[in-house]
Amino acid sequence: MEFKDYYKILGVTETADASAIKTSYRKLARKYHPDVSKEENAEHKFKELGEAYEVLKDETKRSEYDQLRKLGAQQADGGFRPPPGWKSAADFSDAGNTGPNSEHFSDFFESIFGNAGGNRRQSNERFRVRGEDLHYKMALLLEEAQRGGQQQITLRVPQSDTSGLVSHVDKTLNIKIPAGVTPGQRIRLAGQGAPGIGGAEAGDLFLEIEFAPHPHFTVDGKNIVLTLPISPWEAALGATIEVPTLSGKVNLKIPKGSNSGDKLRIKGKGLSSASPGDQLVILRVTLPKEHSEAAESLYRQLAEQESTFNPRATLGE
Amino acid sequence: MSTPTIHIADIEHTAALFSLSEICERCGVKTEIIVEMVEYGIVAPVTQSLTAESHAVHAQHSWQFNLDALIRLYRAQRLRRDLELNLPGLALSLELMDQVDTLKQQITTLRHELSKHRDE
Repeated sequence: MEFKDYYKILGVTETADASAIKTSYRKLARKYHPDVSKEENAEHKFKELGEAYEVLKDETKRSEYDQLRKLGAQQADGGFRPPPGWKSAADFSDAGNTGPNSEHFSDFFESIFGNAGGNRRQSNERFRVRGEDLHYKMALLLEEAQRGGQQQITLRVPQSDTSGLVSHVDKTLNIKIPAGVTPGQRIRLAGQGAPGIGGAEAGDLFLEIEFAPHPHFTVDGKNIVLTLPISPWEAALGATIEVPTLSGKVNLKIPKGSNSGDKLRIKGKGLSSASPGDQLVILRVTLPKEHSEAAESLYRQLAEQESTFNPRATLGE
Repeated sequence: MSTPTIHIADIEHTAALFSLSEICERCGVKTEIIVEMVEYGIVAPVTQSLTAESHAVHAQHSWQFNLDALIRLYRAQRLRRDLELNLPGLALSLELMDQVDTLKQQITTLRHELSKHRDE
């Protein structure tokens, strides 16, 4: 396994005193807390921070760690193995590892400090604890959210054996999503969380729905928004245009004299629910990059014909 | 390995309600903490009949929380524990984080709109 540089993780020097370590930990903990940080590896970083702080805040653990660091307990392959006969003082005490998430500490940590106290739950058989609730963010395509459908997810579920030792197993679930879920919506799957201890009830699984970005549509509450490019003549003369919606194409009537930015509403073509949303269509008048000579001459004619029109009247000219 | 069974994510479960003691058990906190969190407006129990009585202390045992409130309490509890926040600080943090989320969402939508109005 890899040797973890706890000083580097906490961004402090080897000579840093306890208060510098605490300050740095607090600062980084705020930065990488998974509930605050949007960085992809925030959860991993936060766990690493907790582990590094657990060691460096404790004088005994820190000096044991420093010892190993100086010994250079690195193998030829660059990996780490504690020296033969290594035993940490923390391994003897029940309350050895006290961090809030000590059950998530790495193999590296456990190889040095053992897993007493942290990783072991009460092994008393009459001890009953409800299983942990689990959380899972589920990203759906808009179409999937609209139609509903089946998705397979894999969860890491904590499980404790008869002695109370906690390990993680992968659990695969096939989940049928009802039609018409909305972003941010939470769904409970009762009893699909971690198993209970001592015959207690299992926890629940909470799914949070997220929408993957769509190439054409955006979501505004229950409404679907589409920007629709139209030609200047379609805008001027009006037209009936085929428009994509989440449930197939529909014909949309563009009124005569439409402008860029005008909004049209297709009723009931938003996200479906008890009261479905609408699809909002924002018009965008689009010109070809180049015109033919004939077209240019038609535009010149148009310019003469409409010479009284001042599109900048609102600018006070 | 056997074929995994299909679990139906029943939308009705969204309407699940949790009592004060259930919330405490799940989040692993004492009742007083949840009561204080409610007093700070971090979460609110679902409003039943709005009688003066339901605001009285003895009505706490009839409090019911919805799924959103439970998940907010989980988040609040993690922040309180990991960052050693006090309750006013926690309430402020959660409010600001909500605002950031809303703003980020608006930015995403506006960016998307804007990209369509630029030269393709």
